[in-house]
Amino acid sequence: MHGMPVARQDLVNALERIARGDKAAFELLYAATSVKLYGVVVRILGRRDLADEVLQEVYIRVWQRAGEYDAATSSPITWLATIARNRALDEAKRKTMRSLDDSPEALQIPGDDDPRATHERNEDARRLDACLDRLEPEKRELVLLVYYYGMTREEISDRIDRPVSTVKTWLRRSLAQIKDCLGQ
Amino acid sequence: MTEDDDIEDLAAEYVLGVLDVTERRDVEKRRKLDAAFDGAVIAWEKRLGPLADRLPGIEPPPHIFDAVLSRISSQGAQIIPFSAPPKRLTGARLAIGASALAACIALVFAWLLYAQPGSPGTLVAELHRAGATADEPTGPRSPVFVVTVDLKAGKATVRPVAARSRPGRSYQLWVLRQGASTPESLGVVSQSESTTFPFPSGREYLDAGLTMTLEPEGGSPTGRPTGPVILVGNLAPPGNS
Repeated sequence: MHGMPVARQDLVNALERIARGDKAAFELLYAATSVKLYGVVVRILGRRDLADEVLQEVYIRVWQRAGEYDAATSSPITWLATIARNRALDEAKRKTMRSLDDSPEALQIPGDDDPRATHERNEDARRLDACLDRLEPEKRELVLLVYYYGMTREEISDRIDRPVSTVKTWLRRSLAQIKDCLGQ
Repeated sequence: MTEDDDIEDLAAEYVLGVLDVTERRDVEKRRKLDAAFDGAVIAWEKRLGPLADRLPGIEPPPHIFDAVLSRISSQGAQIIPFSAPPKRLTGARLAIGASALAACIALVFAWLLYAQPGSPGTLVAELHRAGATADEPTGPRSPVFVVTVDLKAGKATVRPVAARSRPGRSYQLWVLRQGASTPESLGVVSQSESTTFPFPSGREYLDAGLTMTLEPEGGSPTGRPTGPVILVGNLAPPGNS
């Protein structure tokens, strides 16, 4: 039952019910989204034991804050993934003892043709993909590595053998290009 | 670089996930103080959000949901410690244990500040440019103002180190105590000489965040920050800042 596809409106409804203390709705939301969110936090934290703890914290926070979700502002999965990323990033940056070499196979950027990628190809996702494709390949990879793995400037600097200041400039320029390209 | 560019860069870097722990804390404080900046962060979350959705998921261990449910059920309090105690502590013991631990830490911290022989009862914050990072070659992380708080006397002294004159504008200093969502004004600060204010007492101020905004001459007309946050810093015992 984990990771079953659920329509956006079902998740919106579930969040409304969770805000009123409905545990059945909470279970449904967990079943529909925990595989996705665990993927997010495992990549950022690089350690399963930490990821287990952070995933619990994420869902406790969802339980407490479901009433703050606003369907007009974001999709449920974006809202949930933002909570998960922020929790995982806070924990990862606090510890700074992750070794990326622990799990080199994890350091892969999912491609568009990745059969495991089950994302909905909605309009926003297509536009973002198109804008990412307009970046130079090396910079596109940097952006994705940071987003998926929470790599610091120092880690990237080591990885690509360029000064930290160059990493910072590249990232800022790439982000500005993405913003211009999206036109929002 | 303009103020808008600074906001955009910092918001984008925060959402992308490249900032270090200190920078992330600065951003989280600033979001509460600066609506324009908070809006920029939200816009970046929306722009980059589809990326999270293209990740293949990973199946979590089966015990997680039960653990979440038992922690929710046992929550008398709404406060969940992020670094949770060991899992064998469950139920009310967890909540009691966590709050007792937090109280002990706060007491020890207060004791260290107030009672330790030789402790001057002083807190210091270096205010540096909001969004500055340690690796910039020009050293913008260096202090622009230094704030010293004398806890016994209940006074804060703000010393300009490298403040620029801002004709027609005033620097205003704000304190955001632990757990608060809105800042309190300490007062308008001179950019050329030291300024002293009363400093509120209470444990929740011992590791408070400080922000400096640029306000209309004479200070914010509303009692809340109205101008851009240009400098940030955290109060800490000397040598720990």
